[in-house]
Amino acid sequence: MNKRDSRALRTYLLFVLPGLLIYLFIVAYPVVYSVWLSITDFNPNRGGAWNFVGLLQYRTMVEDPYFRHALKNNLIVVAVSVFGQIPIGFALAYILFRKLIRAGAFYQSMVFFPHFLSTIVIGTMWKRLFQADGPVARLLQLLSGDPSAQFDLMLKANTVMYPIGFALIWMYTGLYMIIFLANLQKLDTNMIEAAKIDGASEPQIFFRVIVPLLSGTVLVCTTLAVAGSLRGFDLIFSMTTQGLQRMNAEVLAIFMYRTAFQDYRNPMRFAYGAAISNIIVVISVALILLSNYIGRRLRAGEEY
Amino acid sequence: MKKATAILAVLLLCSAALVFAGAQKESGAAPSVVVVKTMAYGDQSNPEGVNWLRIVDYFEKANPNIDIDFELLYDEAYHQKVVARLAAGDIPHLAYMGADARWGLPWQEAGQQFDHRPLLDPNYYDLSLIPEMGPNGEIWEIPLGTSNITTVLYMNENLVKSLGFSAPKTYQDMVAMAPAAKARGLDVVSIDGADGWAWGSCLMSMVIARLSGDPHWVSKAVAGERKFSDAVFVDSLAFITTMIKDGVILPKSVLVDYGANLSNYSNEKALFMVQGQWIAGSIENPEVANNTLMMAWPKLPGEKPATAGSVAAAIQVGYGLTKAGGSNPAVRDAAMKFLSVFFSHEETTQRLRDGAIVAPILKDFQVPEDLPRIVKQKVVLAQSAMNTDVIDAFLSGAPNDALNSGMQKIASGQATAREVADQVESLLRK
Amino acid sequence: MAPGVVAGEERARRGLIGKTISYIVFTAWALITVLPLLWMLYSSFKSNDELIRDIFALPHDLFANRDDEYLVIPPALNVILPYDPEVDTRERLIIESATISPGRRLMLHFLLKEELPPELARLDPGDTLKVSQLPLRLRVKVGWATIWFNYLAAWTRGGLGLKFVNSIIYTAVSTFLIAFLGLMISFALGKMPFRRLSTIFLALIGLGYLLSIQSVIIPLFLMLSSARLTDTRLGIIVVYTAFGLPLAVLLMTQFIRGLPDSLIESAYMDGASVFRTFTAIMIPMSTPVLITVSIISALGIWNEFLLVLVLASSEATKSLPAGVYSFTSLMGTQLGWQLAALVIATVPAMAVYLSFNKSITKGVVAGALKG
Repeated sequence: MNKRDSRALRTYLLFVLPGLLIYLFIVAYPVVYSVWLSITDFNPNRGGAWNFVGLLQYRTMVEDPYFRHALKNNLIVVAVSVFGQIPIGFALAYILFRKLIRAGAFYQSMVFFPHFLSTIVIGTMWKRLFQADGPVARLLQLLSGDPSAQFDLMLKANTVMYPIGFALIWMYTGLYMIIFLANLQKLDTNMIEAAKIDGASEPQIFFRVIVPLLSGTVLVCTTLAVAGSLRGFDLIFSMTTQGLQRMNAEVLAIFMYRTAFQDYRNPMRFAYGAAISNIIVVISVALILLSNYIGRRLRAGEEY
Repeated sequence: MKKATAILAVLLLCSAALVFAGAQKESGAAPSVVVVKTMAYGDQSNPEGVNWLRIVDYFEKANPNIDIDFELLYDEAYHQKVVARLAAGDIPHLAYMGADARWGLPWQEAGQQFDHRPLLDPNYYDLSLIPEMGPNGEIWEIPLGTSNITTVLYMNENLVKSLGFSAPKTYQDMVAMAPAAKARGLDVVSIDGADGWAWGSCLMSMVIARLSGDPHWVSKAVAGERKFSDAVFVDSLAFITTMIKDGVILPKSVLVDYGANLSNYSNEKALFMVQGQWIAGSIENPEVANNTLMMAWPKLPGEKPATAGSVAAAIQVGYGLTKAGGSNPAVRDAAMKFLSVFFSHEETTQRLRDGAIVAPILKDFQVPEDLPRIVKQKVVLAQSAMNTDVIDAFLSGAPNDALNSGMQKIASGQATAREVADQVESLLRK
Repeated sequence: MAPGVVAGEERARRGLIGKTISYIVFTAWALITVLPLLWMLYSSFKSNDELIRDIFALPHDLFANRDDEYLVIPPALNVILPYDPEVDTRERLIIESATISPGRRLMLHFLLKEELPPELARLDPGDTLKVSQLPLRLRVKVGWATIWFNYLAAWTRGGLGLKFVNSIIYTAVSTFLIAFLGLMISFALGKMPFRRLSTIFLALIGLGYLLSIQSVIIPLFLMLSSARLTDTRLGIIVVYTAFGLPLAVLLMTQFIRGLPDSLIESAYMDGASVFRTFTAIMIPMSTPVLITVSIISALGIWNEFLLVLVLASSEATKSLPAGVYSFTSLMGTQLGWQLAALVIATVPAMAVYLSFNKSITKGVVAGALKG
């Protein structure tokens, strides 16, 4: 390496290392601990030796029917995030960016506001709204004429993800909307003006000009959405009551919490929980790589 | 832009200064002071915590050579911190612990359980009210009070009388109330069916004990001497369907959660409420609270006489020394001195008033005359009803989850009693 | 009709449909969002009894307090005096509300006997008095204390004052570090050479976003306790910064990669050093993403509770969420207090956001290119 390169490398490292070192200091040990724990039978309460058990925890997990159920629910959540939150967020950001409606700043805040609400408030309100003979139930009784109608979508495993999906979109779309808004700012507006002069309509500008230019942002948002969906816990936990509802809507993070921290029958529960956490990371990585691959293929077909 | 940056920088400098004024624990006490490291349960904003802070303050003033070095935490944070401290080897001397899986297992796994029998003064504590916790009758902690009754049937006396009925002696008496209640738009029995644990802890624990005649049926089943797929357990689960058919419990109970259940009963929309003894103090409507009868369930069809009038009760959680604390004589004596203040007659009376315990475990305890009616009822119930096992004190993990959600499925018509019983059994024996 | 006119009408009609749908979507969103906020606000002015009675009703009890009855009570174990009786020896009449949460020792007032008319100062435990009987000054004081009951209780019992300050410290310092260090890393990964090294670093840092708090809390605690960083503000800030960096780096690297290279190259050609380029060009051009990342990180840290609950043991280091979560007890949740604490925790955050949200939409590139 010649002198100029070595100086460039020094500058590069100077910019990267401070943050990177803090990050590694905190994150490295827990990650290594988690991976190591998952291939042993160690119990931190009990202490003692770390006995190597190979892939026992992972095998138990794969054979656990609750794992498959949680995985299915999680994939639904990922789908809702990637195909619901991101497109809606993008479209809303575009509408605000192009000033197609008035009072843009107000509506921008409104879409992002759910982020401020604590899951305590959302959970309490949700449970009260949908309780037996609550407001929603009364509405259903009025509309259907059946005085014993109740909102029981949360009680059945095959319908529980509809209300949950709705809540997920409401809560998190704002996040992607402001990310897209920020990235829209770096576009050259002359291009858009030119397209308008050529007679293009707004939807045409959106799909033909904006989306390809921000395809990088779409990919990053997809990565964030996948990771967030697999890590997510709070909203679903607070919206469901313990027992049937939470079991119906169980996603991997809740499954991990239930089996690692609350399954007192299993002396290896901490190692089991570590295995589940690691698998969540692996699934996230797999889905992210998959989405990046698909993204690259789609971009390749749209070279300008 | 420049001014904003300048203000930001100043703010950050101030914050940075405050950062380094982080919490510094007092390093090293005077050599003659005994330090009792404690993990306490509660928070400044709830009665448990407020009382704890007050007692520690008072005790340390009276005993300047003892330092109660405590950490006050609540709910999940408490459990996580226990695990974290045990893993880090920072074992407390005294801690809030119990004898069941959730409260006792971490200590058992760490080998830190300590037998308190030699330390308990039989003239002060009524040892017959402190249950055995260990396999050889060891006592791992001093419970705050007598066992925690989980299957209480709360009855609104006035409401029941207004329909022309009196307190039920059998299940059939309750069924007889159903038409009149329905005509008035009232529920007979309100249960928070949306919470899975309520079915197990507040209802089924009692049903299985009554129908089997064995107060310890559940612990025997978990140990393998009985099966959850036995007929008696299937019948117990099927009782849920019976109650729904008779109109005693409504299917929509599965959509009623803890707060809504309390609300229904407080607003006089239900004749009876199913919950544990702890909810007694939360009945906000003074009319209802003063006219509430806390009773054990009446005679169920098919119940065995051996367990008539029984309630399910779990060993109350309390404070106990760990092996680390108990094996150090100075710490042990200091901690027991503290506990004698914590469990004094005045403090125990206060706990009774606050609704934190059912009844005290002290000998020769004088129940004050001016206690609210509902607190006195608790004491009577504790003294009169036979105690049986609570299901989730022995059953945990996947089988318990399957049982609780299974009962909810039975109540909403999605599963049969036999299916649920078989599922629980197979999950338990895996 | 001429085809151009028809096409124009078509487009105008489609534009109108599009606009209507947009308005419907945005308005519906606003309504669904505003309802929980409003509910939280007005419910925080209801007593716990009211909340159990009817959770959606508008507040009443705390406001209609003129005829509230109070019972005189003697000092008892669970009557916590807000003053030190050994320092302040003035005689006081202790009264407890018989209308709101009676018997729980929640709504107490300690009236100085010297401020009361003689017939009231003479009252014994067991006697009752009404608010309307009190002298004007005390009546107003008790009246206000009743209306703001939940907030006063939440603030004092939950110790929210110190927790608020801690929250501000954690959020401000961590967000600043995340934004600043994140921008430095992103600049290097986004615009400097060494592509392969950058990909590795990016993946390494991105991995951090996939971790959930539950899975790291125990080993994290172990590590921090051996580094003596548990229960310190420094430790908590370092942890928040480390966990906030992945999102920041991912977003900012992607944004910076999308910025035109021409600006940076022209700066180099003018002889500027890397640092000068960074401060003079990079920071202004990245303002939208800096603000976005700051908002997202700050909000996450402001509301974060699991980490701080486990890492902060003493009152001096706990932040607001720990206070909010503390209003549950074995005997039930004091929902009124919890909601008041939530309002105290949420409203400032919303106010800060509202003052910054326009900055996300400030165009930067157009200005830089023209100027």
